[in-house]
Amino acid sequence: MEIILRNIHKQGYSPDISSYITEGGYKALEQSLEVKPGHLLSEIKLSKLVGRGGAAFPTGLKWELAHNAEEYPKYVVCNADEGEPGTFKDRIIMERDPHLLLEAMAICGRIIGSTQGIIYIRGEYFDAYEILKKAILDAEKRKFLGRNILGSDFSFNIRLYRGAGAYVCGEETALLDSLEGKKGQSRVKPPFPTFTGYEDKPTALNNVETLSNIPEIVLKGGEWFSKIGSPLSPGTKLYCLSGNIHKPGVYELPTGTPLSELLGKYGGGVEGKLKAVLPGGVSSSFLTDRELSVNMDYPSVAKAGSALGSGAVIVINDTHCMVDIAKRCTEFFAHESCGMCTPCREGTKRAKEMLTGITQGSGELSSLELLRDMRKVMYDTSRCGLGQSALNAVVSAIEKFRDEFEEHIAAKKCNLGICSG
Amino acid sequence: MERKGGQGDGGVGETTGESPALPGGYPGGSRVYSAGGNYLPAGKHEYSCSGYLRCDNFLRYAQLEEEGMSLEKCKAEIEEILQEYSNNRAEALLPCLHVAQEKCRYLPEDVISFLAEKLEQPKANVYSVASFYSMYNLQEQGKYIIRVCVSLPCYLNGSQEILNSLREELNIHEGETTQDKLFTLQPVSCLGLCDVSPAMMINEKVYGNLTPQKVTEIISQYREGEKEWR
Repeated sequence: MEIILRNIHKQGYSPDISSYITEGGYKALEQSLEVKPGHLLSEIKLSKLVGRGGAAFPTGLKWELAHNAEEYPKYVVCNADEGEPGTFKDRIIMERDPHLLLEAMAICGRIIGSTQGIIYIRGEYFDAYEILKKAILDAEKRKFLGRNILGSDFSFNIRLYRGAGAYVCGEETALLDSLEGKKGQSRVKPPFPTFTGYEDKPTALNNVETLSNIPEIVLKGGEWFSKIGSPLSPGTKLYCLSGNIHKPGVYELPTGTPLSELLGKYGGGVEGKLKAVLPGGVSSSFLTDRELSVNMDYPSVAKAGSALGSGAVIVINDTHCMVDIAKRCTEFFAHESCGMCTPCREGTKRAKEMLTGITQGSGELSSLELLRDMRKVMYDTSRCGLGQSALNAVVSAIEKFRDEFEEHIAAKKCNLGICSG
Repeated sequence: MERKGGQGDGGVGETTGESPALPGGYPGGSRVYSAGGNYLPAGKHEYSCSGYLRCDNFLRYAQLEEEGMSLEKCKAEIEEILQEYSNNRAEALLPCLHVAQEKCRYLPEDVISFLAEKLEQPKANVYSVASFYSMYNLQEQGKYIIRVCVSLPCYLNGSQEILNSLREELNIHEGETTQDKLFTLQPVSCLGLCDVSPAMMINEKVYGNLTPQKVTEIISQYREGEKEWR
C-alpha cells in the first residue's frame, strides 16, 4: 500500500514532468478546479489526515481555519526544512517526485484561497533545490502553475526559499521568521500561523509528506483514505529506518504497523542485539525490546510513552553506551537551541554539562533527579517544541537504563569502555 | 559558538601547523608540492611551489581582500536578488548572504556593510543573522567545505572514526581550514543522509557509507583533481 512513493517505485520513473503526467499527475489539480473549495475541504477533513511533521495536527482543521480567515493575501508554505536526526523522507520525495509536492500545494492554494506558495527548503539539500527549481519552471510552462491554471480563473505561483542550517527552523514559527529574512527564532503562540503567519497573513504551513497525500485524497476521496491503517490517524506513514539496522531506508506502510514488523520484516533485522529504539528521532523517548509490539501510529506510540514525531526510527544495538548516547542527544540540542527563551537556552546547556560530567566520571547521583525536574520545567515553559522535547531522550534513558548511569556515577567507569573517564 | 569568529581576527592568515614562509609573501598561503608534484601535508614538504598560475590567483585574491574588493565579486548578484525582492527587501537577506558566500567563500565585512545599507538595517542586525545560521561563515573557508554529519544515526555507524581520519588526513581540527586553503572541516548536525550513514558532503556533493579508507581515497581524488587543474 503506497500513496506517496507509488510513482517513485515504478520502473523507469524519473522526476521529469512527463513521467509524472504519464502516471496520472496533475489530474487531481484539474479535478479540483472543477469543484468548489468547500467540497475539497470536506474531503480533506473526512480523510482524517494529520500532519506528518511531528505535531500530528489535523490537516483539514488547519486548512479550514486558513480558509475561513478573512484577510488577504493568504499563503501556502511548505516546510521542507527537514532537520530531525534520522529523518530523510522529505528529501526522497523532493528529489524523486517533485511534482507531487507542487500539485499538492496548488490544491491547498485553491482550498484556502491563496495565490502564492513558498517552499522553505533546508540549505544543505542542494540537489532537491535544483530539482524543484526545474520542476516549477516545467509546471509553469505546462500551465499547471502560474496565471490562470489550465485556463481557469485560479492562479498560483510557487517560489523556493533556502534555509541556512538551523534545526530550529523546522519549527513552524521559527521557519516563518527565517522566511522573512530574520534569525529563525520561534514566535509566541497563539496567534497561530493560520491567522498570523507569513508577513502576518493567514498561512497554511505543512510538511512535505503531509502535502504529498493530498492529490490521492482528492482523486480517491477522503473516505477511502480514512480506511487505511490505524483508524485514529489513518493513511500511510513514511518511516525512516537508520542506525544499527540491516536495511536502512524509507518505508511507506499503513499507520499502525507494529514496530517489530517494521524492524524485522522491512528493516531486515537489527545489527547485533537490540538495546533501544527512538521511534521519532532524538526528540522522542527511548523504547526497549519490551515495547516492540507498539503500533506505529501517533496515539499508540504516545501511549507507549514516546512520540512518533516525523517517523525517524533510530535503532541502537548493545555495543553502545546509553549514557554516551544521551550525552550526544544533549549536545545536539545545546547546539541547535535558538537562544530565544531561557528554559531551553540554559536547560540544554546545563543538561549537556551534567551528562558530560557523568561520562567523565565526575557526575553526581542528584543530577539524575535534577534532569528529570528540568525536563518538566522545560516542557512547561519552553516556547517551542525544541525545548519542550529536548530532554525526552535523556530522561527516558535514565528511566530505562538507570544501572548504566549509576555505574558511571558510582564506579566512575563505563562497562563498554566508550566513555572517557 | 565555536565556529564563529569576529571579523578581522580570522580570515586569511589564521591556520595551524608549521610552514615556512613562501616567496611572494602572500598571507598564510602555503600550497606546497614536492618536486615530483605530489601533494605533501604542510610541514613535510621538500619544495615550495612557485607555479605562476595558481600562486598568481592566490596573490590576486589576497590583494582583493586587502583593498576591500571582495564585494565586487558578488555585487552584481546581490543587486539582482534585491531587484527580485523589491517588494520585500528584508526577505532578501538570506538569499544575498547565500550568494555572497558562494562567490567569496565567506562573508567579508564589506559585504555585511553593503547589505546593511541596501536593506536599511543596522549592521549589527545583518551580522546577527549571518552568525545565527551555521551555513554562513564569517571566516574565510577552504575551496572545499567538508561537512561531516555527527548526529546520532551517523554516530551509531561510526562517524567518529570518519572525523578522526579526516582530521588526520588533513592535519587540522574541526572548524579549521588547511594551509593550502583547499579544505575546511565542519562537523554538522544531521544532513538527512541517514540511510547511507556515516555520511558527509564536500561542497554540494554527497558521500555515504563511508569508511576511514574511503575517506582517504576521496580526499586524495580531490587533491589529484587540483593538481590536474594546476
